[in-house]
Amino acid sequence: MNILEIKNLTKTYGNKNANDNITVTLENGLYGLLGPNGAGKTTFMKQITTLIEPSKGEIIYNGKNIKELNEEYRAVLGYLPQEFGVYKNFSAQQFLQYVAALKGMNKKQAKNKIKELLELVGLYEVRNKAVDKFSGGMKRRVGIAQALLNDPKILVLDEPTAGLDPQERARFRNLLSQISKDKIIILSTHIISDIESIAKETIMIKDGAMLMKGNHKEILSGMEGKVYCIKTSNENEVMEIQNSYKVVNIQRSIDHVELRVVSDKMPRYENVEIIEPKFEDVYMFYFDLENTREV
Amino acid sequence: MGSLIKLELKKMLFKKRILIIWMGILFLSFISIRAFSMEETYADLFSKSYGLVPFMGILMFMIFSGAYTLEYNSNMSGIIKTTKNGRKSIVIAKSIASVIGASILNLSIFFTLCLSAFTKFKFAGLDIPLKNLWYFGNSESDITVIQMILIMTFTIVLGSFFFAQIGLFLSSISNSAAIPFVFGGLIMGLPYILEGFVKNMGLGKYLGATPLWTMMSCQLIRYKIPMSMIGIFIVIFIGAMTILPKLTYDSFMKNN
Repeated sequence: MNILEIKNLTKTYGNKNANDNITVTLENGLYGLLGPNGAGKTTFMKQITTLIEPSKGEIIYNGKNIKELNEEYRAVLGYLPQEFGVYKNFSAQQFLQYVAALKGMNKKQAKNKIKELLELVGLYEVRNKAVDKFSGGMKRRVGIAQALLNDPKILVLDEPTAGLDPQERARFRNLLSQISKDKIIILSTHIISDIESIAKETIMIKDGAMLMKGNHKEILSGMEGKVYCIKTSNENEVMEIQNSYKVVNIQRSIDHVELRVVSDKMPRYENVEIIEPKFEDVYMFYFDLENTREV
Repeated sequence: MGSLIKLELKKMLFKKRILIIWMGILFLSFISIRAFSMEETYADLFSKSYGLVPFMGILMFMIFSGAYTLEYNSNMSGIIKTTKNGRKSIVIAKSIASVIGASILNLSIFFTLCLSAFTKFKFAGLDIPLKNLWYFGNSESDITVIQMILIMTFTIVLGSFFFAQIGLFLSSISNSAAIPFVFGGLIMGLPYILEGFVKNMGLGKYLGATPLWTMMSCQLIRYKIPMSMIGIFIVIFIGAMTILPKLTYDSFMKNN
Protein backbone atom coordinates (compact mmCIF):
# COMPACT_ATOMS: atom_id res chain seq x y z
CA MET A 1 0.00 0.00 0.00
CA ASN A 2 1.26 3.48 -0.90
CA ILE A 3 0.27 6.40 1.26
CA LEU A 4 0.94 10.00 0.36
CA GLU A 5 0.14 12.42 3.14
CA ILE A 6 -0.04 16.05 2.16
CA LYS A 7 -0.03 18.26 5.22
CA ASN A 8 -0.84 21.98 5.24
CA LEU A 9 0.71 22.42 1.82
CA THR A 10 1.14 26.09 1.03
CA LYS A 11 2.98 27.73 -1.83
CA THR A 12 3.30 31.47 -1.81
CA TYR A 13 4.47 33.68 -4.66
CA GLY A 14 4.88 37.23 -3.39
CA ASN A 15 1.73 37.78 -1.41
CA LYS A 16 -0.39 35.35 -3.41
CA ASN A 17 -1.04 31.84 -2.22
CA ALA A 18 -0.93 29.53 -5.22
CA ASN A 19 -1.74 26.69 -2.81
CA ASP A 20 -3.26 27.43 0.52
CA ASN A 21 -3.02 24.99 3.39
CA ILE A 22 -4.00 21.84 1.50
CA THR A 23 -4.23 18.75 3.67
CA VAL A 24 -5.16 15.48 2.08
CA THR A 25 -4.15 11.82 2.33
CA LEU A 26 -3.97 9.72 -0.82
CA GLU A 27 -3.86 5.95 -1.01
CA ASN A 28 -3.73 3.55 -3.96
CA GLY A 29 -6.25 4.52 -6.58
CA LEU A 30 -6.95 7.26 -9.07
CA TYR A 31 -7.68 10.77 -7.87
CA GLY A 32 -9.15 13.32 -10.20
CA LEU A 33 -7.93 16.86 -9.71
CA LEU A 34 -10.53 19.33 -10.81
CA GLY A 35 -10.43 23.08 -10.89
CA PRO A 36 -10.44 26.00 -13.28
CA ASN A 37 -7.31 27.41 -14.89
CA GLY A 38 -5.19 29.21 -12.34
CA ALA A 39 -6.80 27.37 -9.41
CA GLY A 40 -3.44 25.97 -8.30
CA LYS A 41 -3.63 22.43 -9.68
CA THR A 42 -0.31 22.58 -11.48
CA THR A 43 1.42 24.12 -8.45
CA PHE A 44 -0.04 21.33 -6.33
CA MET A 45 1.25 18.69 -8.72
CA LYS A 46 4.65 20.33 -9.06
CA GLN A 47 5.07 20.13 -5.31
CA ILE A 48 4.11 16.47 -5.28
CA THR A 49 6.63 15.85 -8.06
CA THR A 50 9.34 17.81 -6.16
CA LEU A 51 9.64 20.36 -8.96
CA ILE A 52 8.92 23.16 -6.53
CA GLU A 53 9.34 23.28 -2.79
CA PRO A 54 6.41 24.14 -0.56
CA SER A 55 6.55 27.46 1.29
CA LYS A 56 4.91 25.69 4.22
CA GLY A 57 3.77 22.19 4.97
CA GLU A 58 5.16 18.83 3.98
CA ILE A 59 4.56 15.77 1.85
CA ILE A 60 5.06 12.38 3.46
CA TYR A 61 5.39 9.21 1.40
CA ASN A 62 4.96 5.98 3.35
CA GLY A 63 5.96 7.73 6.57
CA LYS A 64 8.96 9.63 5.23
CA ASN A 65 9.28 13.21 4.06
CA ILE A 66 9.79 13.24 0.29
CA LYS A 67 12.53 15.83 0.64
CA GLU A 68 14.55 13.41 2.70
CA LEU A 69 13.71 10.50 0.44
CA ASN A 70 15.07 12.51 -2.51
CA GLU A 71 16.21 10.07 -5.25
CA GLU A 72 14.40 7.20 -3.58
CA TYR A 73 11.12 9.09 -3.97
CA ARG A 74 11.80 10.15 -7.54
CA ALA A 75 12.55 6.51 -8.38
CA VAL A 76 8.88 5.69 -7.74
CA LEU A 77 7.53 8.79 -9.45
CA GLY A 78 6.06 9.14 -12.92
CA TYR A 79 5.14 12.55 -14.30
CA LEU A 80 3.57 13.85 -17.44
CA PRO A 81 3.48 17.65 -17.60
CA GLN A 82 0.75 19.56 -19.34
CA GLU A 83 2.97 20.34 -22.28
CA PHE A 84 6.31 18.99 -23.27
CA GLY A 85 8.37 19.21 -26.41
CA VAL A 86 10.40 16.52 -28.02
CA TYR A 87 13.91 16.26 -29.30
CA LYS A 88 13.87 16.69 -33.05
CA ASN A 89 16.57 14.12 -33.70
CA PHE A 90 15.10 11.40 -31.47
CA SER A 91 12.77 8.61 -32.52
CA ALA A 92 10.05 7.46 -30.12
CA GLN A 93 12.23 4.55 -29.09
CA GLN A 94 15.30 6.71 -28.52
CA PHE A 95 13.26 9.22 -26.55
CA LEU A 96 12.05 6.45 -24.26
CA GLN A 97 15.58 5.07 -23.99
CA TYR A 98 16.70 8.51 -22.85
CA VAL A 99 13.99 8.76 -20.20
CA ALA A 100 14.73 5.17 -19.13
CA ALA A 101 18.37 6.16 -18.61
CA LEU A 102 17.20 9.15 -16.58
CA LYS A 103 15.09 6.81 -14.51
CA GLY A 104 18.12 4.64 -13.84
CA MET A 105 16.85 1.56 -15.66
CA ASN A 106 19.38 -0.88 -17.01
CA LYS A 107 19.50 -1.54 -20.75
CA LYS A 108 17.78 -4.92 -20.75
CA GLN A 109 15.07 -3.83 -18.37
CA ALA A 110 14.52 -0.67 -20.43
CA LYS A 111 14.40 -2.52 -23.74
CA ASN A 112 11.63 -4.85 -22.61
CA LYS A 113 9.64 -2.12 -20.91
CA ILE A 114 9.90 0.23 -23.89
CA LYS A 115 8.61 -2.47 -26.23
CA GLU A 116 5.75 -3.26 -23.86
CA LEU A 117 4.76 0.39 -23.49
CA LEU A 118 5.07 1.23 -27.18
CA GLU A 119 2.69 -1.63 -27.89
CA LEU A 120 0.40 -0.48 -25.11
CA VAL A 121 0.12 3.05 -26.48
CA GLY A 122 -0.08 1.79 -30.06
CA LEU A 123 3.18 3.27 -31.30
CA TYR A 124 5.32 0.18 -31.74
CA GLU A 125 5.00 0.22 -35.53
CA VAL A 126 6.28 3.79 -35.70
CA ARG A 127 8.92 3.43 -32.97
CA ASN A 128 11.76 4.44 -35.28
CA LYS A 129 10.02 7.50 -36.64
CA ALA A 130 11.15 10.92 -35.35
CA VAL A 131 8.85 12.03 -32.54
CA ASP A 132 8.92 15.49 -34.06
CA LYS A 133 6.89 14.15 -37.00
CA PHE A 134 4.18 12.71 -34.72
CA SER A 135 0.72 14.22 -34.38
CA GLY A 136 -0.24 15.91 -31.10
CA GLY A 137 -2.10 12.81 -29.92
CA MET A 138 0.82 10.53 -30.75
CA LYS A 139 3.24 12.80 -28.87
CA ARG A 140 0.89 12.67 -25.92
CA ARG A 141 0.98 8.89 -26.05
CA VAL A 142 4.79 8.99 -26.02
CA GLY A 143 4.48 11.21 -22.95
CA ILE A 144 2.19 8.72 -21.27
CA ALA A 145 4.62 5.89 -22.07
CA GLN A 146 7.58 7.77 -20.58
CA ALA A 147 5.64 8.42 -17.38
CA LEU A 148 4.97 4.69 -17.00
CA LEU A 149 8.50 3.50 -17.80
CA ASN A 150 9.66 2.93 -14.24
CA ASP A 151 6.37 1.35 -13.18
CA PRO A 152 5.79 4.30 -10.83
CA LYS A 153 4.04 4.03 -7.48
CA ILE A 154 2.98 7.65 -7.76
CA LEU A 155 1.84 8.81 -11.15
CA VAL A 156 1.07 12.48 -11.72
CA LEU A 157 -0.63 13.34 -14.98
CA ASP A 158 -1.35 16.92 -15.95
CA GLU A 159 -4.08 16.92 -18.59
CA PRO A 160 -2.93 13.68 -20.17
CA THR A 161 -5.88 13.30 -22.52
CA ALA A 162 -5.68 16.75 -24.07
CA GLY A 163 -5.28 16.28 -27.80
CA LEU A 164 -6.32 12.64 -27.80
CA ASP A 165 -9.27 11.55 -29.94
CA PRO A 166 -12.24 9.82 -28.21
CA GLN A 167 -10.93 6.37 -29.03
CA GLU A 168 -7.49 7.14 -27.63
CA ARG A 169 -9.06 8.70 -24.55
CA ALA A 170 -11.16 5.62 -23.90
CA ARG A 171 -8.10 3.44 -24.33
CA PHE A 172 -6.12 5.63 -21.97
CA ARG A 173 -8.89 5.62 -19.35
CA ASN A 174 -9.00 1.84 -19.46
CA LEU A 175 -5.25 1.69 -19.06
CA LEU A 176 -5.33 3.97 -16.02
CA SER A 177 -8.16 1.96 -14.46
CA GLN A 178 -6.12 -1.16 -14.97
CA ILE A 179 -2.94 0.13 -13.36
CA SER A 180 -4.46 2.18 -10.54
CA LYS A 181 -4.82 -0.80 -8.23
CA ASP A 182 -1.32 -0.66 -6.83
CA LYS A 183 -0.40 2.98 -7.29
CA ILE A 184 -1.52 6.49 -6.52
CA ILE A 185 -2.55 8.28 -9.68
CA ILE A 186 -3.26 11.98 -9.65
CA LEU A 187 -4.98 13.09 -12.80
CA SER A 188 -5.63 16.72 -13.54
CA THR A 189 -8.05 17.45 -16.32
CA HIS A 190 -10.82 19.70 -17.55
CA ILE A 191 -12.44 16.75 -19.25
CA ILE A 192 -14.93 15.82 -16.58
CA SER A 193 -16.01 12.60 -18.22
CA ASP A 194 -12.43 11.28 -17.80
CA ILE A 195 -12.61 11.74 -14.05
CA GLU A 196 -16.23 10.68 -13.77
CA SER A 197 -15.62 7.30 -15.30
CA ILE A 198 -12.43 6.22 -13.56
CA ALA A 199 -11.56 8.31 -10.50
CA LYS A 200 -11.85 6.76 -7.07
CA GLU A 201 -12.16 10.23 -5.59
CA THR A 202 -12.15 13.75 -6.88
CA ILE A 203 -10.25 16.64 -5.33
CA MET A 204 -11.61 20.03 -6.24
CA ILE A 205 -9.32 23.03 -6.00
CA LYS A 206 -10.40 26.63 -6.17
CA ASP A 207 -8.26 29.71 -5.55
CA GLY A 208 -5.39 27.54 -4.34
CA ALA A 209 -7.40 25.84 -1.61
CA MET A 210 -9.06 22.45 -1.51
CA LEU A 211 -12.76 22.95 -2.02
CA MET A 212 -13.79 19.36 -1.44
CA LYS A 213 -12.65 15.78 -1.72
CA GLY A 214 -14.82 12.75 -2.04
CA ASN A 215 -16.09 9.98 -4.23
CA HIS A 216 -18.72 10.69 -6.86
CA LYS A 217 -21.60 9.69 -4.64
CA GLU A 218 -20.47 12.06 -1.89
CA ILE A 219 -19.85 14.92 -4.27
CA LEU A 220 -23.11 14.40 -6.13
CA SER A 221 -25.10 14.13 -2.89
CA GLY A 222 -24.05 17.71 -2.15
CA MET A 223 -25.69 18.72 -5.40
CA GLU A 224 -29.10 17.20 -4.61
CA GLY A 225 -31.81 19.77 -5.17
CA LYS A 226 -29.49 22.18 -6.93
CA VAL A 227 -29.95 21.06 -10.53
CA TYR A 228 -33.06 22.10 -12.42
CA CYS A 229 -34.63 21.64 -15.79
CA ILE A 230 -36.51 24.68 -17.03
CA LYS A 231 -38.80 24.24 -20.03
CA THR A 232 -39.87 27.30 -21.96
CA SER A 233 -40.93 28.30 -25.42
CA ASN A 234 -40.17 31.96 -24.88
CA GLU A 235 -36.84 33.00 -26.39
CA ASN A 236 -36.67 36.11 -24.22
CA GLU A 237 -36.94 33.88 -21.18
CA VAL A 238 -34.08 31.72 -22.48
CA MET A 239 -31.90 34.83 -22.65
CA GLU A 240 -32.99 35.90 -19.20
CA ILE A 241 -32.21 32.50 -17.66
CA GLN A 242 -28.79 32.48 -19.28
CA ASN A 243 -28.04 35.87 -17.80
CA SER A 244 -29.28 34.96 -14.32
CA TYR A 245 -28.14 31.36 -13.80
CA LYS A 246 -25.34 28.97 -14.56
CA VAL A 247 -26.71 27.04 -17.51
CA VAL A 248 -25.09 23.65 -18.04
CA ASN A 249 -26.92 22.72 -21.18
CA ILE A 250 -29.53 24.05 -23.61
CA GLN A 251 -31.54 21.57 -25.62
CA ARG A 252 -33.84 22.83 -28.36
CA SER A 253 -36.90 20.93 -29.56
CA ILE A 254 -39.43 21.98 -32.22
CA ASP A 255 -41.79 23.68 -29.81
CA HIS A 256 -39.74 24.37 -26.67
CA VAL A 257 -36.30 24.80 -25.12
CA GLU A 258 -34.98 22.83 -22.14
CA LEU A 259 -32.33 24.46 -19.99
CA ARG A 260 -30.27 22.55 -17.46
CA VAL A 261 -29.50 24.97 -14.65
CA VAL A 262 -27.46 24.75 -11.44
CA SER A 263 -28.46 27.04 -8.63
CA ASP A 264 -28.62 27.25 -4.85
CA LYS A 265 -32.19 28.47 -5.07
CA MET A 266 -35.02 27.15 -7.17
CA PRO A 267 -35.49 29.36 -10.25
CA ARG A 268 -38.87 31.07 -10.34
CA TYR A 269 -40.28 29.97 -13.65
CA GLU A 270 -43.43 28.20 -14.62
CA ASN A 271 -42.05 24.93 -15.82
CA VAL A 272 -39.22 24.01 -13.47
CA GLU A 273 -38.36 20.61 -12.07
CA ILE A 274 -35.57 19.30 -9.89
CA ILE A 275 -33.48 16.72 -11.71
CA GLU A 276 -30.71 14.23 -10.82
CA PRO A 277 -27.30 15.91 -10.65
CA LYS A 278 -24.49 14.81 -12.92
CA PHE A 279 -20.81 15.35 -12.45
CA GLU A 280 -20.62 18.15 -14.96
CA ASP A 281 -23.19 20.05 -12.88
CA VAL A 282 -20.77 20.01 -9.96
CA TYR A 283 -18.09 21.69 -12.01
CA MET A 284 -20.53 24.28 -13.31
CA PHE A 285 -21.87 24.91 -9.87
CA TYR A 286 -18.51 25.63 -8.28
CA PHE A 287 -16.59 27.04 -11.19
CA ASP A 288 -17.28 29.46 -13.98
CA LEU A 289 -18.50 28.47 -17.41
CA GLU A 290 -15.42 29.74 -19.25
CA ASN A 291 -13.29 27.24 -17.38
CA THR A 292 -15.18 24.22 -18.64
CA ARG A 293 -13.41 23.08 -21.75
CA GLU A 294 -15.34 19.95 -22.42
CA VAL A 295 -17.85 17.95 -20.47
CA MET B 1 25.34 6.91 -16.67
CA GLY B 2 26.92 5.49 -19.85
CA SER B 3 23.59 5.40 -21.71
CA LEU B 4 22.73 8.86 -20.49
CA ILE B 5 26.04 10.29 -21.75
CA LYS B 6 25.64 8.49 -25.08
CA LEU B 7 22.12 9.80 -25.59
CA GLU B 8 23.07 13.31 -24.46
CA LEU B 9 25.88 13.21 -26.99
CA LYS B 10 23.49 12.13 -29.71
CA LYS B 11 21.04 14.84 -28.70
CA MET B 12 23.59 17.62 -28.99
CA LEU B 13 25.77 16.39 -31.85
CA PHE B 14 23.52 14.63 -34.32
CA LYS B 15 21.56 17.59 -35.54
CA LYS B 16 21.31 18.31 -39.22
CA ARG B 17 22.68 21.84 -38.99
CA ILE B 18 25.62 20.78 -36.79
CA LEU B 19 26.51 17.92 -39.12
CA ILE B 20 26.34 20.12 -42.22
CA ILE B 21 28.52 22.87 -40.71
CA TRP B 22 30.92 20.28 -39.30
CA MET B 23 31.36 18.58 -42.68
CA GLY B 24 31.83 21.99 -44.31
CA ILE B 25 34.57 22.93 -41.85
CA LEU B 26 36.30 19.58 -42.26
CA PHE B 27 36.33 20.11 -46.02
CA LEU B 28 37.67 23.62 -45.55
CA SER B 29 40.34 22.30 -43.17
CA PHE B 30 41.48 19.71 -45.67
CA ILE B 31 41.77 22.06 -48.62
CA SER B 32 43.32 24.88 -46.63
CA ILE B 33 46.67 23.09 -46.39
CA ARG B 34 48.61 23.53 -49.58
CA ALA B 35 51.62 21.63 -50.85
CA PHE B 36 54.69 23.79 -50.37
CA SER B 37 58.01 22.50 -49.08
CA MET B 38 57.76 20.18 -46.07
CA GLU B 39 58.75 22.88 -43.56
CA GLU B 40 56.43 25.42 -45.14
CA THR B 41 53.52 23.00 -45.15
CA TYR B 42 54.03 21.92 -41.54
CA ALA B 43 54.28 25.56 -40.48
CA ASP B 44 51.11 26.17 -42.41
CA LEU B 45 49.46 23.34 -40.45
CA PHE B 46 49.98 25.15 -37.13
CA SER B 47 49.12 28.50 -38.61
CA LYS B 48 45.86 27.18 -40.02
CA SER B 49 45.00 25.25 -36.87
CA TYR B 50 44.95 28.56 -34.99
CA GLY B 51 43.34 30.33 -37.92
CA LEU B 52 40.40 27.92 -37.86
CA VAL B 53 39.67 28.61 -34.19
CA PRO B 54 36.58 30.75 -34.94
CA PHE B 55 35.00 27.77 -36.69
CA MET B 56 35.79 25.53 -33.73
CA GLY B 57 34.15 28.12 -31.49
CA ILE B 58 31.03 28.33 -33.63
CA LEU B 59 30.61 24.57 -33.63
CA MET B 60 31.35 24.18 -29.93
CA PHE B 61 28.99 26.87 -28.76
CA MET B 62 26.32 25.60 -31.12
CA ILE B 63 26.30 22.35 -29.17
CA PHE B 64 26.74 23.89 -25.71
CA SER B 65 24.20 26.67 -26.07
CA GLY B 66 21.21 24.38 -26.50
CA ALA B 67 22.17 21.94 -23.74
CA TYR B 68 19.85 23.44 -21.14
CA THR B 69 17.82 25.96 -23.13
CA LEU B 70 16.40 23.06 -25.13
CA GLU B 71 15.15 21.42 -21.93
CA TYR B 72 13.66 24.68 -20.66
CA ASN B 73 11.94 25.58 -23.90
CA SER B 74 10.51 22.12 -24.48
CA ASN B 75 9.46 21.77 -20.83
CA MET B 76 11.47 18.56 -20.72
CA SER B 77 13.21 19.91 -17.64
CA GLY B 78 10.03 19.07 -15.70
CA ILE B 79 10.18 15.44 -16.78
CA ILE B 80 13.94 15.25 -16.28
CA LYS B 81 13.95 16.68 -12.77
CA THR B 82 11.31 14.27 -11.54
CA THR B 83 13.44 11.25 -12.43
CA LYS B 84 15.98 9.43 -10.29
CA ASN B 85 18.99 10.60 -12.32
CA GLY B 86 17.44 13.87 -13.39
CA ARG B 87 19.40 16.18 -11.12
CA LYS B 88 23.09 15.74 -10.32
CA SER B 89 23.57 12.84 -12.72
CA ILE B 90 22.10 14.68 -15.69
CA VAL B 91 24.30 17.72 -15.03
CA ILE B 92 27.34 15.42 -14.91
CA ALA B 93 26.17 13.53 -18.02
CA LYS B 94 25.65 16.76 -19.95
CA SER B 95 29.06 17.95 -18.88
CA ILE B 96 30.85 14.77 -19.95
CA ALA B 97 28.88 14.57 -23.20
CA SER B 98 29.75 18.20 -23.98
CA VAL B 99 33.44 17.61 -23.35
CA ILE B 100 33.39 14.51 -25.54
CA GLY B 101 31.35 16.28 -28.22
CA ALA B 102 33.55 19.37 -28.27
CA SER B 103 36.73 17.27 -28.25
CA ILE B 104 35.47 15.21 -31.17
CA LEU B 105 34.61 18.33 -33.16
CA ASN B 106 37.83 20.19 -32.39
CA LEU B 107 40.14 17.23 -32.77
CA SER B 108 38.46 16.19 -36.01
CA ILE B 109 39.22 19.63 -37.44
CA PHE B 110 42.79 19.57 -36.13
CA PHE B 111 43.45 16.01 -37.29
CA THR B 112 42.01 16.77 -40.72
CA LEU B 113 44.57 19.57 -41.02
CA CYS B 114 47.30 17.18 -39.86
CA LEU B 115 46.18 14.49 -42.24
CA SER B 116 46.06 16.93 -45.13
CA ALA B 117 49.60 18.11 -44.34
CA PHE B 118 51.19 14.75 -43.53
CA THR B 119 49.74 12.86 -46.49
CA LYS B 120 51.42 15.33 -48.80
CA PHE B 121 54.78 14.00 -47.59
CA LYS B 122 53.76 10.43 -46.73
CA PHE B 123 54.12 11.18 -43.03
CA ALA B 124 57.80 12.05 -43.38
CA GLY B 125 59.57 14.73 -41.37
CA LEU B 126 57.48 14.48 -38.22
CA ASP B 127 60.65 14.81 -36.18
CA ILE B 128 61.52 18.25 -37.55
CA PRO B 129 62.05 20.65 -34.65
CA LEU B 130 59.62 23.54 -34.47
CA LYS B 131 62.45 26.08 -34.64
CA ASN B 132 62.86 25.09 -38.31
CA LEU B 133 59.30 26.16 -39.12
CA TRP B 134 58.64 29.82 -39.91
CA TYR B 135 55.56 29.81 -37.69
CA PHE B 136 57.76 29.14 -34.67
CA GLY B 137 60.69 31.22 -36.01
CA ASN B 138 61.67 33.00 -32.83
CA SER B 139 60.76 30.28 -30.38
CA GLU B 140 64.01 28.32 -30.69
CA SER B 141 61.98 25.32 -29.63
CA ASP B 142 63.41 21.85 -29.98
CA ILE B 143 59.98 20.26 -29.70
CA THR B 144 59.32 18.22 -32.81
CA VAL B 145 56.27 18.42 -35.04
CA ILE B 146 54.82 15.15 -33.78
CA GLN B 147 55.43 16.15 -30.15
CA MET B 148 53.61 19.41 -30.75
CA ILE B 149 50.72 17.51 -32.33
CA LEU B 150 50.49 15.29 -29.24
CA ILE B 151 50.69 18.28 -26.89
CA MET B 152 47.97 20.04 -28.86
CA THR B 153 45.78 16.95 -28.82
CA PHE B 154 45.96 17.07 -25.03
CA THR B 155 45.43 20.82 -24.73
CA ILE B 156 42.53 20.80 -27.22
CA VAL B 157 40.76 18.28 -24.97
CA LEU B 158 41.63 20.44 -21.97
CA GLY B 159 40.31 23.56 -23.70
CA SER B 160 37.16 21.72 -24.78
CA PHE B 161 36.64 20.80 -21.13
CA PHE B 162 36.99 24.42 -20.07
CA PHE B 163 34.75 25.88 -22.76
CA ALA B 164 32.16 23.14 -22.19
CA GLN B 165 31.75 24.23 -18.57
CA ILE B 166 31.43 27.87 -19.61
CA GLY B 167 28.93 27.03 -22.37
CA LEU B 168 26.85 24.78 -20.13
CA PHE B 169 26.73 27.35 -17.37
CA LEU B 170 25.64 30.09 -19.78
CA SER B 171 23.03 27.74 -21.24
CA SER B 172 21.72 26.87 -17.78
CA ILE B 173 21.10 30.53 -16.94
CA SER B 174 19.50 31.44 -20.26
CA ASN B 175 16.18 30.77 -21.87
CA SER B 176 17.45 31.48 -25.35
CA ALA B 177 20.31 29.60 -27.01
CA ALA B 178 21.49 32.87 -28.57
CA ILE B 179 22.81 34.20 -25.24
CA PRO B 180 25.24 31.37 -24.43
CA PHE B 181 26.25 31.25 -28.09
CA VAL B 182 27.15 34.94 -28.26
CA PHE B 183 28.65 35.36 -24.78
CA GLY B 184 30.44 32.00 -24.81
CA GLY B 185 31.79 32.81 -28.25
CA LEU B 186 33.03 36.15 -26.99
CA ILE B 187 34.78 34.61 -23.98
CA MET B 188 36.54 32.23 -26.29
CA GLY B 189 37.13 34.62 -29.16
CA LEU B 190 38.25 37.83 -27.46
CA PRO B 191 41.95 36.85 -27.28
CA TYR B 192 41.74 36.00 -30.99
CA ILE B 193 40.05 39.25 -31.93
CA LEU B 194 42.13 41.47 -29.67
CA GLU B 195 45.46 39.72 -30.22
CA GLY B 196 47.01 42.53 -32.27
CA PHE B 197 45.75 45.22 -29.93
CA VAL B 198 47.00 43.44 -26.80
CA LYS B 199 50.41 42.81 -28.36
CA ASN B 200 50.73 46.45 -29.40
CA MET B 201 50.18 47.39 -25.79
CA GLY B 202 53.05 45.10 -24.85
CA LEU B 203 50.78 42.77 -22.94
CA GLY B 204 51.11 39.84 -25.32
CA LYS B 205 52.38 37.44 -22.68
CA TYR B 206 49.08 37.69 -20.82
CA LEU B 207 47.35 36.02 -23.73
CA GLY B 208 49.09 32.88 -22.51
CA ALA B 209 46.81 32.81 -19.50
CA THR B 210 43.69 32.68 -21.69
CA PRO B 211 41.88 29.38 -22.27
CA LEU B 212 42.06 29.86 -26.04
CA TRP B 213 45.85 30.02 -26.13
CA THR B 214 46.15 27.10 -23.74
CA MET B 215 43.84 25.10 -25.97
CA MET B 216 45.85 26.04 -29.06
CA SER B 217 49.15 25.47 -27.28
CA CYS B 218 51.21 26.11 -30.43
CA GLN B 219 50.68 29.79 -29.56
CA LEU B 220 52.36 29.29 -26.18
CA ILE B 221 55.43 27.87 -27.89
CA ARG B 222 55.42 30.37 -30.72
CA TYR B 223 55.47 33.37 -28.40
CA LYS B 224 57.59 31.73 -25.66
CA ILE B 225 54.91 32.36 -23.07
CA PRO B 226 56.43 32.24 -19.55
CA MET B 227 55.48 29.37 -17.26
CA SER B 228 53.95 31.87 -14.82
CA MET B 229 51.17 32.58 -17.35
CA ILE B 230 50.49 28.89 -17.76
CA GLY B 231 50.41 28.69 -13.96
CA ILE B 232 47.80 31.46 -13.88
CA PHE B 233 45.71 29.56 -16.41
CA ILE B 234 45.94 26.40 -14.30
CA VAL B 235 44.59 28.35 -11.32
CA ILE B 236 41.78 29.79 -13.47
CA PHE B 237 41.06 26.31 -14.84
CA ILE B 238 40.84 24.67 -11.42
CA GLY B 239 38.68 27.51 -10.08
CA ALA B 240 36.31 27.39 -13.05
CA MET B 241 36.05 23.62 -12.97
CA THR B 242 35.18 23.73 -9.29
CA ILE B 243 32.66 26.55 -9.41
CA LEU B 244 30.98 26.33 -12.83
CA PRO B 245 29.43 22.84 -12.54
CA LYS B 246 27.96 23.79 -9.17
CA LEU B 247 26.55 27.05 -10.54
CA THR B 248 25.17 25.15 -13.53
CA TYR B 249 23.45 22.66 -11.24
CA ASP B 250 21.96 25.46 -9.12
CA SER B 251 20.65 27.33 -12.17
CA PHE B 252 19.16 24.17 -13.63
CA MET B 253 17.40 23.36 -10.37
CA LYS B 254 16.08 26.90 -10.00
CA ASN B 255 14.60 27.10 -13.48
CA ASN B 256 10.97 26.05 -13.42
